[in-house]
Amino acid sequence: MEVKVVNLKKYFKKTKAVDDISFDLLSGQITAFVGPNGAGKTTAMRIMATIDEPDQGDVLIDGISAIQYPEKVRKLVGFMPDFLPTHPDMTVDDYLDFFARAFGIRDYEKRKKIVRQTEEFTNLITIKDKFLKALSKGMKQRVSLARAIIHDPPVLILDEPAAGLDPRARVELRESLKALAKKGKIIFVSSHILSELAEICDTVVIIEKGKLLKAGGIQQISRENMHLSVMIRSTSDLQKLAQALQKMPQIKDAKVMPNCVAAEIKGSEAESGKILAALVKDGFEIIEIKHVKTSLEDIFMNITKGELA
Amino acid sequence: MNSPSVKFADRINPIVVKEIRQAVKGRFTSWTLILTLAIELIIIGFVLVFSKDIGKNFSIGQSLFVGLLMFLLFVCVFLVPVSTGTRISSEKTSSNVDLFFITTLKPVQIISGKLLTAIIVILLFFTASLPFMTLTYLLRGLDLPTIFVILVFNFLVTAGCVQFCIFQACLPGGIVSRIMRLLITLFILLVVYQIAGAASSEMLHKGIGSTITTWDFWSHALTSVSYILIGLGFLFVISVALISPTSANRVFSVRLYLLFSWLATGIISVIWFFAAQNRSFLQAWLMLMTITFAINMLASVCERQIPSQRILKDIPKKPILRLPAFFLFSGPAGGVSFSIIMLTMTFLIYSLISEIIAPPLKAFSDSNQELLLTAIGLALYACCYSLTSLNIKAAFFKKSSTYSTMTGIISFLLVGSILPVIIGFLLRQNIWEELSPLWYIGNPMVLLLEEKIWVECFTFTGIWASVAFSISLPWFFRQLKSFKPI
Repeated sequence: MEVKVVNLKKYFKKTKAVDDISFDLLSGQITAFVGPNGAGKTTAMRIMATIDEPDQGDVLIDGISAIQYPEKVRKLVGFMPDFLPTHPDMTVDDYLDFFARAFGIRDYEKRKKIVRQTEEFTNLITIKDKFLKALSKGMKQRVSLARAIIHDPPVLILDEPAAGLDPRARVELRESLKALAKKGKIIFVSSHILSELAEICDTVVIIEKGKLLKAGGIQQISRENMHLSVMIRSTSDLQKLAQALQKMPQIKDAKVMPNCVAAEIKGSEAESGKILAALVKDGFEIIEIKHVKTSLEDIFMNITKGELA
Repeated sequence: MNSPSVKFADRINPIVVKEIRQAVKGRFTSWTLILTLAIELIIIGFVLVFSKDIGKNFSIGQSLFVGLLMFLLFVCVFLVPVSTGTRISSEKTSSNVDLFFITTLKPVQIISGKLLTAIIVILLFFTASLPFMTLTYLLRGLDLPTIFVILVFNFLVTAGCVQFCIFQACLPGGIVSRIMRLLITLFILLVVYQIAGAASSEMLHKGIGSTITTWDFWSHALTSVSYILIGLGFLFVISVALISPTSANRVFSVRLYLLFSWLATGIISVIWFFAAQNRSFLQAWLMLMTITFAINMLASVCERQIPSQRILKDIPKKPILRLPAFFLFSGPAGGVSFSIIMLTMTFLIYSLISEIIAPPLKAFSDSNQELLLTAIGLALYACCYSLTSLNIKAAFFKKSSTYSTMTGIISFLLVGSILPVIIGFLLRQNIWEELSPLWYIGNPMVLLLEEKIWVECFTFTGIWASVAFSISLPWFFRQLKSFKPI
């Protein structure tokens, strides 16, 4: 199973919401879809989920065009929008039962079993008889996820699934997504909480102003955009320490922080040993020297400029 | 092991199950039903308490029945169809993705589910009101068969209203267009309400139940029911096409249905024409088909000129099947050609039966060519407006959406019909009386109102249609040539 996004374009009058983006998603991978607000993430996801049509390009899910055969693609895709549409006078159980029927699960016993399993998986079992309108935002998000997975699709497209969830529910969601990826599903998830995505995602797609900036494995992109930094704690004068560091050929930049000096190193980790030796030789009393890893947030900040489409 | 009832329940349309559950758990349906019954009870109580000489007044049953029926009709013609339409309209917006965009439900399942649910609710209201309706029988002045016939007639009318509201809710457009359509729908429902009320009163006063065993009753009843059902089916097929994916061959089922209904209504009309020796059946068919195919011709212009990959893949590979497929597949060239062919065949068949086969028979010695000429004139107007729109679209707006083209055509029709009249009015120093009927020549309705300028009308539309056709002919051939599978 593979998802191919090919030269996707979507314009709203003169605004280029999605501007010629292409990337691939593979089975068993969780892919983060990140970009500033208004970058075109939701538009691209809606096209992939057959809700909107692009002006150009295509989305191929297992080789089937989402533009030409949306009804076939819907069997393969579970879409979780960033909000749950309002349905008056409907309980959680009725809602999921309807979707199970709508996705062609007609047999009563089988349907009941699937609905129950889904409710258990998404922790909805205790609120299954509650009306949808009485649910909190977090609960609605769970119902939305349950609806997306009720027909056991191989591809899951989740738009801001963690929005409105409390910390416990976020941890549970992360675990759920990991479990689904282990089953071989393709999970494409957008979120603003990058630290959470970094923990669970294998690959990342970064867009800004509708344009694709980076797509690939998180580790590979991290390596490409790596800025090796060290954090040095010392009892000596931090100002003098920073000045000494800036004179060293291995150092790109050094800044005084509240309790330490942060320095960006040119070259590999091995350079930090040479730096430490030189500092000790110059008479600085070093308490601690620590490498700082580049986070997904750092990569995102480095790659994007924060401009709207 | 599942019981047969569970197995049956599993086969029911998911939308029917969902909506009925919502109706049962919600307050709207139950409160409307309770309120309806309460008001009907009040109407009966009011009539029984305040009417004098109930024992001697033979029309009191009729009056009470009409009162109850009009109230029931109000609920079933306005509340149920409008609420069904507005729900579809809101579910069709892309901000509400549940029904139309993420499930694997087929468009036909969605429309039939919505229609069936509304019909079940209407049936609930009719059934609940039935005891009150039949109570009027005890007050005399009407018979049970009459009550039954009137209720069946009105049930069909309300089902038609539901389907009409579903159809208008499926049309594309933004919020402004939706509000405008709602207002137009309410106006049409008001007209239907008045006509259904008047027709029911007429049936009541005539005592239609007493004619139930006659040939005249069944000829009219079956023809009316057939026409209502065919009209309902037509709106159903269009609604399904409207919510189908834009890449699909959406018009295929619509054109097949048109072909079927043209044939079915044609056969019914010809049979009644000879059996009842009455021209009105055939005349009704002629006008109905002329209007239907004229509208279809205008609507075809809105279809996308560049076929989708999916349509191109579905085009038959065998050349012998490709020509008929050209007329049945999505695309303005095929749609306009299909309408022109069907209109021509309608006129030929009508002329053949009405003017050649029938006149030698004694019952049809009088000839009536005026209606045929009116129909041909209307078809010519449709050709003029659609071919001109098609040429403009092909030259300047190749990529315009269905909705934009539809808005453009409606605006063109309005401008063509009204602008010359306004210019004439201004040139004639604001005196309506002195305005020549020729200023109305852009308006197709002039054929129905002004027989004096028929020659001018036919000359004008004939020249216009010929010019528009000549300009579009190379384009038509290009479209036909490029109609090949990939």
